[in-house]
Amino acid sequence: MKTIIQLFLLAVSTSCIFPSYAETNTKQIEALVFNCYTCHGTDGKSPGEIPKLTGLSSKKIEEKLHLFRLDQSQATIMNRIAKGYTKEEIKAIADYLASLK
Amino acid sequence: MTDKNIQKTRRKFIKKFGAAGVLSLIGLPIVYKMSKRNNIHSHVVIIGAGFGGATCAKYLRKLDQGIKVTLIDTNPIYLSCPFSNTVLAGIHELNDLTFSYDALQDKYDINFIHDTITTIDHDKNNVRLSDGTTLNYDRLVVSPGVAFTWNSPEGYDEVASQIMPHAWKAGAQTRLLKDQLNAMEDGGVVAIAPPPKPFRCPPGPYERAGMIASYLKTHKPKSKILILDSNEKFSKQALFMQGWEARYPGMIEWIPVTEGGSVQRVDTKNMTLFTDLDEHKVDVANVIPAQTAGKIVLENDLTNASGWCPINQKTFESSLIRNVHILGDAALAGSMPKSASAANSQAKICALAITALLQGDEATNPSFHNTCYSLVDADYGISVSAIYELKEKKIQKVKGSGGVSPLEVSDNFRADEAKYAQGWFDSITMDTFG
Repeated sequence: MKTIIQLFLLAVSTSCIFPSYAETNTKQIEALVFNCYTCHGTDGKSPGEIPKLTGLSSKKIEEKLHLFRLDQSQATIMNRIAKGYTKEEIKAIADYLASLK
Repeated sequence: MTDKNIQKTRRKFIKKFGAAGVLSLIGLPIVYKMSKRNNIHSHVVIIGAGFGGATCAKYLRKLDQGIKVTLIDTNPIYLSCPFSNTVLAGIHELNDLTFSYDALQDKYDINFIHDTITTIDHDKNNVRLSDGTTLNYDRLVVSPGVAFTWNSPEGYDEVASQIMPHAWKAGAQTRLLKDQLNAMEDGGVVAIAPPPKPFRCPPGPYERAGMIASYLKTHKPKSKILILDSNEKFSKQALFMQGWEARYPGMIEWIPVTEGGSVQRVDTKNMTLFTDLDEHKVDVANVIPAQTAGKIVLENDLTNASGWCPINQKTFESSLIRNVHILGDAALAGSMPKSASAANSQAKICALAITALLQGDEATNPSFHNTCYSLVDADYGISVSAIYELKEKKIQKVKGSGGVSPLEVSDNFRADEAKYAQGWFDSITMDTFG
């Protein structure tokens, strides 16, 4: 059964000239989000002194990053980092992180 | 014509016309032009299991369980270069900086092989191990770090490094330097000689000065540190100098190349370093030699005249040889520094690119990040950071992002950054090996 599904998926995928929008979009967002994991740990699960990014709502993450970006909240390093992203990118990063289990 | 000559000719041909030319010439189908295919059973071989290679292995498996990943390194465990300066201050033991590949094997089902590569065959897409095994790959990733250019400075070779340790690869060399500092009399002179740029870890020599000073201040307060520099400025310079003045007034002297600081020759017998203008007899000499990309890429036609690897900065595929990707210190990666953080970031983008390329898709638009913390003292940290994007085919800083820690801040700010430096280490090693 697994093989049949795989063959079916292969047939579907090879028939598409372009990858689906959703797939491309996820990879595009992952390219941004993976930047966070260097200091905040894989999937935001920091094992040490740097705050974890888990269990936060999308709204909360977005709000925080905006405040850092505009220097309205002072961190040691996040102000410098948040300025590297556009508003749209911040929204996408926040949504992605909040969706992780 | 011997086999070797044929290979050489073939390589030259490939350099000139690309692998496609060879393949079409000998009547084989051009595989990479095939339409989309499933990644199941694709094999990625990764040489070098440091911050670049290990991260790439983990993220390939995280992104696509259909890809088989083999990770190869000459060492069975990893000893981290980042944070190894803290051993000199007595903050950490080398043991605290040691990581196994167990989690990558158990959690991510990566095949880790402890062995040395003898040859890379770009034409046949395979690598040969010292035990005779041949591994075929669909994509090869090489993350070899740096190699030392011996005799630069003159007289500084592998034998000399046993007397004047470079300690630029963590392990026995770090221990040797620490032992020498422990054995030195109070009032001694420690020299640190950074090589000309580019070299691995740009703030490293200056962090080292502070870490050694931290030890000397408590144990041998009459001693001095002399930085004999082959460069005219350095990373986080104003912050380092401010920190040295605050914590170790008068202990650290920096002589830039413009004031004759560049070490040209060493004499290990007399513990003397010869610069353009002067000679310095010292008690401990930490000489860091000039560097190029690692040996494996130097010997396999993956470097250009600079001694480093030119790459497509979107996918990290070599500009010289198809299906081979180069990561980390060895790669010419636009304006990114040669750091663990940069290698970790590049590895994830490379993993994303490889999963796309194996399917016949275009690689995603990359985004990169680098953060390097340095300790001035155990409770005094500073940082440099930036976000990068691909612009005109080059990795460049996103305008307005990044920069160094502010100059005028409270002691608490420096203490927080020292705490976060440790947090950074805990997180990046988890992101790479955990």
